[in-house]
Amino acid sequence: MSRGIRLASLGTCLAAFAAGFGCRSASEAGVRFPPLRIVAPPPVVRKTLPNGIRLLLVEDPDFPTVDVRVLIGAGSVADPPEKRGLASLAAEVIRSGGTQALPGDALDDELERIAASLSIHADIDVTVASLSLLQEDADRGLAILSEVLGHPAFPEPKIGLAKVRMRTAIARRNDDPDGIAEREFRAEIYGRGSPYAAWPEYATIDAIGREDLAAFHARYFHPGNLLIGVWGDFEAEAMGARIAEAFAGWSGEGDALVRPEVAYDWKREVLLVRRPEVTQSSIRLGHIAARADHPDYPALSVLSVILGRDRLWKEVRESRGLAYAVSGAYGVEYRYPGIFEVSSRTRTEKTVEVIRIIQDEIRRIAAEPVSEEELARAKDTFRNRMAFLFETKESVVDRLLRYAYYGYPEDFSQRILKAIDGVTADDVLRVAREHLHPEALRVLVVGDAERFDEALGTIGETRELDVSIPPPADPAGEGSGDGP
Amino acid sequence: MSRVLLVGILACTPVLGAPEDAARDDPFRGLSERVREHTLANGMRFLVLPRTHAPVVSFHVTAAVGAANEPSGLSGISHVLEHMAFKGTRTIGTRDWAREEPLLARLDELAAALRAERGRGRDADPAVIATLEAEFAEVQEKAKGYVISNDFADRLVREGGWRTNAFTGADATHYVTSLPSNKIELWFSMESDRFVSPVFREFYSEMEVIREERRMRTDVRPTGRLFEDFQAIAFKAHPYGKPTIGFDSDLRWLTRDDVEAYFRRYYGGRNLVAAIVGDVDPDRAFALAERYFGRLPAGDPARPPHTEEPESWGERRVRIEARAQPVLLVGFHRPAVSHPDDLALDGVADVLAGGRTSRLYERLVKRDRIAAMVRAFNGMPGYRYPCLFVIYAMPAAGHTADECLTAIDEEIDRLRAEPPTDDEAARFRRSFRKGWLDGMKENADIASHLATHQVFLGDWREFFRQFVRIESVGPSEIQGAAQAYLDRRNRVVGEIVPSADEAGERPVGKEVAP
Repeated sequence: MSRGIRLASLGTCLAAFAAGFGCRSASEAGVRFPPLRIVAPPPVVRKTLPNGIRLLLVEDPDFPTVDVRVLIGAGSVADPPEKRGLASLAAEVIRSGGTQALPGDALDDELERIAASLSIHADIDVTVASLSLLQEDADRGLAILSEVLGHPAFPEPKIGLAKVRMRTAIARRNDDPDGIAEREFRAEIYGRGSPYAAWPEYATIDAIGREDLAAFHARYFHPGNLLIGVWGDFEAEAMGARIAEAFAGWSGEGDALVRPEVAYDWKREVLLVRRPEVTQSSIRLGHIAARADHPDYPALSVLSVILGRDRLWKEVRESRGLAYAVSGAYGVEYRYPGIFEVSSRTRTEKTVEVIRIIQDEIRRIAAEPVSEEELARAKDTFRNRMAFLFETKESVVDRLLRYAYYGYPEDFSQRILKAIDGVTADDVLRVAREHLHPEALRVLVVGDAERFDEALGTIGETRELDVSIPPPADPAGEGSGDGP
Repeated sequence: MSRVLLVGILACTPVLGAPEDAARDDPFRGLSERVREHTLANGMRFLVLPRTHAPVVSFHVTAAVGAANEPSGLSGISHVLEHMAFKGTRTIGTRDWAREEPLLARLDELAAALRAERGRGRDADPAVIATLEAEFAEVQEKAKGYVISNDFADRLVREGGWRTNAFTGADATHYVTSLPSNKIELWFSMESDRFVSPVFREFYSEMEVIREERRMRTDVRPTGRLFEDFQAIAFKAHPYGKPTIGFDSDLRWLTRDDVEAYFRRYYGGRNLVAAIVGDVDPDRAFALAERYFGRLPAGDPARPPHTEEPESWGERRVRIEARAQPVLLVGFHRPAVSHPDDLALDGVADVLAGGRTSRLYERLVKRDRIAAMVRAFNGMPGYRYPCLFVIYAMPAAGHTADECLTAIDEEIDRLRAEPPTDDEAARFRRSFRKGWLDGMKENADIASHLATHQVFLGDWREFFRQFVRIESVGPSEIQGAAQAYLDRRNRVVGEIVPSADEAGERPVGKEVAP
């Protein structure tokens, strides 16, 4: 399934609330609905601290809790190829290793004593830290957060422990056949060796030393690279001042994250990973897609929903019973191209049949206009879900943080929704023809090829992938550089 | 909800145990007092909690029927009915019910005839089967022509339906959705229809979908296989031993008539609870409930399983060999969620594996580095009846399940021998309260808590009482629970053992082609 943005995370617009609504007749028994009650979006307080850290706050007096989300301009996209896993390892040890003043175990102790949770995770082009705690502990929590993110100790024993856990994950990465499909397909799209589809190996984990982690931190963890969002039980100005104080020690400059271009090799290919022990195949089809700022994104969103959640669902699952899992989406990412990806899982003896159905559906949507009914259904879905924009303060903060982080306008979702409202069947057809390439699909299957309904070669010339895990240098699997 | 009241409650600890507070079993008077109840003549109970911060409403319906209620031979039927709940009604999902109906009836006749013929085993006549199958395919194709696929969910989604889903467990079946708050009547209309006059169309193709789901969740996943076998040996008698997804042979055997009969009996008003949380007026909701759900018959009470799991005579073990890394499960029998020891067992789970300062994490993950992950699950596969307390460990690369088991044994022994510290107990209580608060932020979560506590504990107020009752869980309660239930002599152990054959072989037990 594509990791692209879900349009369900929408922006804010009071006018849009009123616009799309009014009395509508229900589908059942001619029920008429009253107009939707207008609710003002929660106020958002924005600040930039003297050292450059950007901050946004949303008050939520209903619960005595405070939640903080920090986005840091760092990610695995910057991992050197011979040290893949660096960003993830760094994130884990920033959390587990604590600081000089508050070493890892003491940090764990203090946090759990107050039932505060702190997590840090490095994604491809963003690193996210989350802190959740009771309101009465906010000051202590903020101080800890700032210290841990700002001055991690990176102690060797915790590096060793993190490496053990990463090696454990490497050893398990082929245990689930669908996990293999997801991972390998992504690598075929972005290219083997692309930082957008990289994963660590034993050798790359071994190659990472403490100095690498410290250098990573020094490069990217600086005020200009930090965005902080907070929601909870506080008064915004006062909380803004408390955060400013907690993060006052941050200074200096560093690097911005660099995202390399993606050079896509347009070609049709069929790839196979043999798994004779499974009774169900994992299937992926697709090719590269676009960024969220592409002018065709609104029409592509409509296309995505009609093809992925409407047609494929009906053709593969509902009417033929060929799969429980089938989905498709024209995925976009904010700052690099996403993946147009269709995925499904079906019994071995229906594998090629399902591939053909999916190919036919992709061709069909690029050949004829979608029906007015399909179009209306997709557009209504987007419009009517706007009522959920402000259900939780968390979703409001996360949305605004992401747009600020990726350099998108605050009202990005509003613009897209407005544009979606104006999408026609002709628009959908045009973007389908321009952006979907059924003749240049990559197809990847994980399954028991000997027992497929037809030879996979009838779909196209097939190349077999060897996904065996390169063994560790140390046969015991512990690797080197563990530390005491 | 009063801020001052909340802050006051959280700041104090033992004070809540004081006699003058004992009468106050609900510290959140503001919230719990806004919950309104109404029960229809057919027994269906509605719980409504207004929250007006956003123009949305979440709905959670719980049917007190789950896998544990299924008779032998009908495994998976509750889950099948969950899928069928999206197939529509006489007006939803069909282009022409008058024409569709006789075709579905004919399909049922053919299915019964096929089952009868196949059931003759070696005496089954292949020619008869072939003829029946041919007609079946023809009629099925005709019936398909009248179907509007996925119409039920589509209509909801089109009107802004959000997180529309259903799920089946051992104890109950749940149906959820959220809608913009001006569409409340749509929910009442459609949701009541799916109970009053559902049509289980596309039944036979949906059975194939469910068989795919089984393959996906269980057959091709070593961990899935492990959990299925683990619960089977833990419960040799009680139906908690049967998988919710059902066995393939039972799924192939089921006909639409079986499923409809089961539905008519057990999915009536008396077995349903609906919780509605959000921008809703309770009086309006109750009026709509009467109008739309009043049509539903009461049905029969769900069959509580009378078979009890007898006391175990000793340890039981299962090993799954698979092309996968090791996994360890250790299970102990524990009482149902309604038992007074339930919260103390939550304390055991927290002390043993709750976070990074828990005993097992500190020892297995941090200190000895023999596990990458360790978790405790308290109340599996269901918790309405006596169930399991389970510890899960993921051995670190190069280490074995046995090493983890030895260490786990020692830590459990230690907890049984000496009570946890005051610190550990306090940590647990605080983390419980924080988790409780986190679970109150979304309408859908609150609706879920209200409905499930009503069904499993007989009173939604139990959800609020727990917040106070947690204060009474101290070191001796936690140690007491560990002593009472975590006894090595009658535990259940399951593990995945990496198979020696790297090339991978055909799985044991071939699938029978349909």
